[in-house]
Amino acid sequence: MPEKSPISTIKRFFNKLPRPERSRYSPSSLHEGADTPELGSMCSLSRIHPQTKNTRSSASEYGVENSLEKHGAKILIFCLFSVSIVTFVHFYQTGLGLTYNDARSHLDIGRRVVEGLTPGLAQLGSVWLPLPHLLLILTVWNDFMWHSGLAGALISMISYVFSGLFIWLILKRLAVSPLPRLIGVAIFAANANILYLQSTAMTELLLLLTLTGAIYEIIAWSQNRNDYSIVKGAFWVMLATLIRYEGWFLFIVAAVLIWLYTAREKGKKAAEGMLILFTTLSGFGIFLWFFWNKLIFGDFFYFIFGPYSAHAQQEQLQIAGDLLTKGNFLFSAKIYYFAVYYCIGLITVVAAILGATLISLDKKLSLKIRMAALVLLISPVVFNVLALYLGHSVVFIEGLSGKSWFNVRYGVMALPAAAVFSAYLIDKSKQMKYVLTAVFVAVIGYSVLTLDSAVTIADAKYGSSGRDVSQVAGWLKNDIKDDHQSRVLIAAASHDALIFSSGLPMKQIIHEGTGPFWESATQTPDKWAKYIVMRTYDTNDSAWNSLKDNKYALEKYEIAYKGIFADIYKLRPEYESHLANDFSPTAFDFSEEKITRKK
Amino acid sequence: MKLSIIVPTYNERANIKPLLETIRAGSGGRDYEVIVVDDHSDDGTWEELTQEQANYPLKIFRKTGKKGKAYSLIEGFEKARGEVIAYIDADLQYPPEEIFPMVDKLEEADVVVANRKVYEDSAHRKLASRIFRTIFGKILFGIPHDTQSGLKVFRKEVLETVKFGPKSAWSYDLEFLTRAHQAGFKIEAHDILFKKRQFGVSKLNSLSAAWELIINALSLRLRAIGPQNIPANGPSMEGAGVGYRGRKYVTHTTLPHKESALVNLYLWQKLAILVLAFIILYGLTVNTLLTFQIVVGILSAIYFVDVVFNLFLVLRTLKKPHAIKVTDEELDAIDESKLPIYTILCPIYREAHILPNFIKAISELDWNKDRLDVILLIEEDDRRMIEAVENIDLPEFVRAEIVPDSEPKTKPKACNWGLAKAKGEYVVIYDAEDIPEPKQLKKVYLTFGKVAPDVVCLQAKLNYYNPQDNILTRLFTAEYSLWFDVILTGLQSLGTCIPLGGTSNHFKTADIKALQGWDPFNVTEDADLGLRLFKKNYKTAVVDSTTFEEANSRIKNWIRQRSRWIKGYMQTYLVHTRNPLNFLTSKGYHALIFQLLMGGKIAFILINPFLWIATLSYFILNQWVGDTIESVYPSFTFYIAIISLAFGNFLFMYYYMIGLVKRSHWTLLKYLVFVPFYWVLVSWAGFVALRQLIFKPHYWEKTVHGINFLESQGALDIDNREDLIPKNIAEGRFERIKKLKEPEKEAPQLVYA
Repeated sequence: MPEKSPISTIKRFFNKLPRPERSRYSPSSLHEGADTPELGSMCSLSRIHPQTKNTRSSASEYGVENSLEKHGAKILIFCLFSVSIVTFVHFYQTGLGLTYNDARSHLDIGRRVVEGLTPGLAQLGSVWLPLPHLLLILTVWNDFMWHSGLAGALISMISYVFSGLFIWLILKRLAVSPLPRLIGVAIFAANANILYLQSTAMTELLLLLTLTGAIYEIIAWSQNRNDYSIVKGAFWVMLATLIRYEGWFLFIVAAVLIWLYTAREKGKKAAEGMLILFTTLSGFGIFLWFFWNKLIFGDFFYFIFGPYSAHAQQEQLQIAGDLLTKGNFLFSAKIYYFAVYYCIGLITVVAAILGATLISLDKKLSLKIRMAALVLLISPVVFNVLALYLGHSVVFIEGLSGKSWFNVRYGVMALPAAAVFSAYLIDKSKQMKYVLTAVFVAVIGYSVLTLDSAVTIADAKYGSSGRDVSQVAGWLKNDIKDDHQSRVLIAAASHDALIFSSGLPMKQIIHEGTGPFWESATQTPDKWAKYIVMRTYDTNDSAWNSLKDNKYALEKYEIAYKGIFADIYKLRPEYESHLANDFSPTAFDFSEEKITRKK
Repeated sequence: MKLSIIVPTYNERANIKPLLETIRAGSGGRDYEVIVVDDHSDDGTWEELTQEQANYPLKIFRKTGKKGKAYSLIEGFEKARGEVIAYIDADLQYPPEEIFPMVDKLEEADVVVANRKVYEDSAHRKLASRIFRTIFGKILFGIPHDTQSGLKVFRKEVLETVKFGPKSAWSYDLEFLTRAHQAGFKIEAHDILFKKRQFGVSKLNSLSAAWELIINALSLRLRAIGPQNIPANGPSMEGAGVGYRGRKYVTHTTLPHKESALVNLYLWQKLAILVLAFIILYGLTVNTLLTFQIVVGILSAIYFVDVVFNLFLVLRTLKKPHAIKVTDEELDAIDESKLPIYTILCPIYREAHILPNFIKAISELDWNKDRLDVILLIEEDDRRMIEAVENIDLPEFVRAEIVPDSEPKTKPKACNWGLAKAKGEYVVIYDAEDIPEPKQLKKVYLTFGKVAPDVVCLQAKLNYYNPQDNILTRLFTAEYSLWFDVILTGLQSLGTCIPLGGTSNHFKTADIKALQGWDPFNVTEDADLGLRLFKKNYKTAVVDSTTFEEANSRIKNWIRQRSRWIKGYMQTYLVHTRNPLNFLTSKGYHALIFQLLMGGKIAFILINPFLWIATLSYFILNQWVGDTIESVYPSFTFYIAIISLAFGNFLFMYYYMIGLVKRSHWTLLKYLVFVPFYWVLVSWAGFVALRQLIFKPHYWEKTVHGINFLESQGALDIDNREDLIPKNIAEGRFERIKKLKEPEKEAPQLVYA
């Protein structure tokens, strides 16, 4: 029977294709070598296995399960889309959707590819992996989509829906019956942090989609040995590697798993072939990323050691004594545990641990499926702990480390595992099943009711992840108003949120990514920029760093506004006549590194 | 062999009896008939003829059509029943007694023309005749014979080949001979005494007839005489062929030349290429940069579409394997006694060393041997092969058929011959080095029962049994695995045209006969057949069985084989784009798939090297050429091109991997890092193919098979051994030009692998 993918499920849903025949579904078919029946084609368990009837309490419940089995995926997609839209509208109305500093930066990066003084793919830069920004290009050209954040949220919302679907499918692969399966999806989908993040331009949901997609396909492959599953799995991993470095870890874990499975089953030669098949596609994104860094920045490792890399950020934190997790594994684990705890909640965490234990011991599932499910689902957790331990990542938990919340949202990476394992626990709990179901209904309900108290919102609003630049941005916006000729010299690496909040079109911004414009403007700003926005005396601010010794140039500016995060320098009126007005490409000679105006 | 003598008459009463009498006297008792077409004579000729009808084998007919000798001849030919035809004027100026000696000369020729060597008629008529013969016969048409001679003898086959409607009363002879000459028939002269007229008066008005002849000759010269179909000998296609540009090709197929690769390009295709070239040159002159940008933009768009299409195909195949499966239970349930006769055609040329292997492979086929009809198709000039067959103890189900020597000497021609000899209900072609899976015939038999009636061809998958020989065989295996296990099944799932693979195409014999066999002028006749049957609303399906072949392990040998394949693809593309609008309206988007599959494939092979050079130059010589290259890629084109470059190339390499995994060739995957070098070789072969398409389009590059065996026997210099690869030659008009400069070689004209 052919493999079932979310895309094909959607297709069927919208095309209203005729319902497939009832299949030969049985728990045994979920073991190695057998494939899962198509969605919607699963028939009543009792008709095949009368003994299972005894475990059912009533015919009505039976009917519900049956319907869920048949139409679950379709209903799920509909429900998740509905929840997604409602939640987005809620956060849009409350103005919380753009609270994260990074969300605004992501939107700006996408926008700079299509609009600015030097638009183009090179604007993707190397600070973040590029896929989210590449996807943003599709809609961020539109001003409303950009400034409302919907361009980014749309990606998160779609990812949210299909991540939920993948969790449903993973649970189906693990032979979890429909109702617990539904609870599992709800644990994920009704989580307040997930609901908030899916309403923003953050990259977590997109990463979760690719992770769950990859995990689902690899679990499917471990059951059916279908080449298509492994190719699809590799594809999802490739996408994941272009979103966040969790994807790179999954790439390694999945590759090892696939090699081991194939070597055991078909020998080392086949394992070699399967490993190459998998890693060539799944590693292609990583290859491209190295190549990109070489092509644009002249260094394969620019994203690791470059001035805007996470490594550089962590070095500063280490100097400031804030990188407490580095070299301390237990503390790293503790910090990440608390991140998970705050994102997911204690009950779910405990249930997940029990569920994982149950899966590892459940002989009804083949060892390969159990291993695949456990290793792959837990891999993001392991990655995050390792990243903290090695000093490549930083998470602040209020009261434990740092001055406030920071990156606590990383805890949601454990949510797919928690959802799957908890659902498994419910499904296998026999007498406790209904108690657990009731508990989780309460947990889910509580999560929804306390939506606005999600820790990720606190992280965004009050933690280091957020930055209130509204005042300085407001001043800038107000002063420039309809003046479309004035340019602002500003370092995007330090002030992307401000650029976003100012509402100015990118064409008026001279930032590090504008190449010769930036080079020229940092030499003779008075000829290029009416405004300079920078954090005075902060050498991490590239604009200040470039201009600090250029007193002659700075003397032509006056400080017009002093803010918490940045100061605004405005060109004195007597020098305004020197400014370039025509910034169209034909007005300049680009033959040198620095540009000159054509006469 | 019966002779039909056509005599056109008009007021020749006095000449009738002497004419009939002389013919009888000269016949020596041989079987003949005289057919007289009387052009409404008013001197009693008809009555005379009626009277003599009882005394001679005479058939008389009143003219029904237009007045004039040429029209009388046409009506006479229609009544003729003989295998040999003669026509003679009734005025007795041409000696009727010479007809039979001229018939005897047909053993050496196809047409015998009475040459008026001694002229007893008026001097001015003699002069006019000689001038016409020299200027219009010899100089204008290259026929060194007495073209206007009123006595000619020829085979009926010639008449059926050169069918045409005369333009005027006196215009038959020159066009007849010109057409026969163009069709490659051999024309010989027979000297005669041209007598003075004894009875009656001449109907020829010298001046007006001369004018008419000159005008007709000039008009004929300006008209291109295209290929002319030579009819078959009997109900089968045996002996059929085509005559073109002075060559007679006996191809054993009645396939119309319009569906054949005999001619590379039609006039409009030539014009289209010229116009395109002109536009580009004009553009380069007027605005070089813009022209480059447009050309590069169009190419980038086509590449991009190809990337998307291939991705679509591969995903389709991966999602659902489309090869038709046959279960072991179904195979076991076959009643051996009810199996039909299965014919296997094996064209084999200069490959005596691999014959034992073939016999072994065929013997292992799981098919009732009483119902197996294996035909070894051996060329008449292949003495070593004939000796080998004579010296080997062939199984009863294997027979050898000698393919008569004729042009073109190609595999499809031999197969057409084999088809005429086939006894089976089913027919398949295997190359001599093939090792089909033993169950293949049974699988095909069962699959034919499963598929829709419009599926007339089942293509077995091909793969190699020697992938590990060297890097070339490894990459070749990857390519084959991709093509047969991924792409073809994807194409099948779309129900679109499938260019068939070289061997293991199974047909019902009646179907392939209805399709008129294989195009003998196409060097990938299989690909052409796939297209042809698709255009006739038939389909090809892929059967889940494999034939293992020998992967080429030597680069020179590989280039020979690949250049032939690419040339064949070029031929196939050109043949099937002769009516592109018709293709598009009748087959819709399939016509576009064809363009991408065949046209795109060829174009990419030829264009890729330039793009590789541009890409490498951009990185290596950026300082000098970087700006120039950037300038021809405006941003939109640049992004499209970069996607094709980065993802297109990567995806293709990945598709090879998928093909190899499907074949469980696990250890070959790592060698795919070398696939770019393989692509360079493909492009190299592409340019060889293009050169050959222009200069010798039907030349069959010989591929040596059984290299492992030859090497194990200590054979040296395999790439240059003439017993394996004949240094043959000539064909096509360029070859004829070449011949003027080089001494003609005694060698077979074309060979095949």
